[in-house]
Amino acid sequence: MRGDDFAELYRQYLPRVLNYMRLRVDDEALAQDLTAATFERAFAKRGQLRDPDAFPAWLFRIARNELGQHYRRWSGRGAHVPLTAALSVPDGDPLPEEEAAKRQELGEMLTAVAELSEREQEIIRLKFVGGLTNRAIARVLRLSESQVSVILYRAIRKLRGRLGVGEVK
Amino acid sequence: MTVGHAALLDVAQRLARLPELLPPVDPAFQRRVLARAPQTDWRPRRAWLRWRVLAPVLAALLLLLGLGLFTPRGLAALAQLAARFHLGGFAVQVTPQPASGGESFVVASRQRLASVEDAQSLVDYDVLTPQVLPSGYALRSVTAISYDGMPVWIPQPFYLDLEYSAEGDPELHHLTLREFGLAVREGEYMRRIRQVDFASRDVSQAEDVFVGEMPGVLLTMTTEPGVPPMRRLIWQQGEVVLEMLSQTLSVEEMLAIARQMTNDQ
Repeated sequence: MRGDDFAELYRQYLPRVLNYMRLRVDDEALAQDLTAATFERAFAKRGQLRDPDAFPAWLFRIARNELGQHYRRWSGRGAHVPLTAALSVPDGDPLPEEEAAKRQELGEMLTAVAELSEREQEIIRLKFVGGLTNRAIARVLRLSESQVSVILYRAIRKLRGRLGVGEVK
Repeated sequence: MTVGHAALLDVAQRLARLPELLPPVDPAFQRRVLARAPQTDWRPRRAWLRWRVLAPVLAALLLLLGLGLFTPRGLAALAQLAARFHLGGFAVQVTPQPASGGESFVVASRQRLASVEDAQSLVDYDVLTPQVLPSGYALRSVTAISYDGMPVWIPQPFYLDLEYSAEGDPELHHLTLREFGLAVREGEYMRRIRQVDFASRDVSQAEDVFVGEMPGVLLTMTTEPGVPPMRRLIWQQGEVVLEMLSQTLSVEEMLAIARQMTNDQ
């Protein structure tokens, strides 16, 4: 990432932040708005970034702040945040078989992840959707790296049972 | 690899497919966001680079500051800096006494008075006197000091000196109480002197103190080796600024006398 200009960082991290937002809010347009706001805020605050290697954690901390502000704005208005928002199917023609299979797999996984604790869910999102290292996740959540590893290990073990992986067929 | 570990790896691999399972980024949205990205190259500032530039500058500044402080000129500058303070609504500046010993711009005339009552008749504020003094101390003289050449709206005498000393060794065991009346009149308008200059030798130490609830300052003056330091306690009491000078009384004794004067009001 060193030497990349900001536009390149935008291109690289835009899908990650957008996917993260998709798993946090129940509306694609809102996820896009929050993603755009995250990058605008990141550009405005770019002078505060000291260590270029810390960019991913720094960016996702901004994303979480944007999300927090959104929750605060909407608190008390009955807003809720389903993890399965990304499963919404647009109106129109039936989905092709391959697309339907992907949606089914996605649905199973998100349903299983939704049964984890909020902290476990967040670590799963940051790890597998945000593409962050355990060290970066630790920075985002202000945990130690070993704490992140332990929580992640336990979460995956729980998911193993819920996804039926490793069961005798 | 055990079956358990293989299963965990399988879960992790499935989770890693999450981005593929999610819808792709809308190209229009991507273009919209990228259009707002700065076109110029941007590199995060590197802390080590910043410090590599700043460290020598800071080191040079510290060196200059250190060298400056340990020279007579530097010490004098520091003392002057420390000798700026505020007493309630008054800004006070302790200025160095002219090396020649002469006055800087006006000539003082000293009028020896017979009593505090005589002094009271010359000023329009209440002359304050200490009711509690160290053992053996008594009032020895009252002097009114006037300055020629000052604007007419500054009342004269400019200040009063009340000299107290102990029997037996009045040269050393003495206490001077200096009182400046600062409510002045110009035509129909009341004005106040907002800045008072106390001529002094070098100040070696300035310390903020409280006399009762009134802010004050305790100045320790530089003296010859072996000579007790002159201390000057300055505080404000109503429209009067008081200065207590002593070479022999302790700080606690000076503060106790000042507090008693404050409490009597």
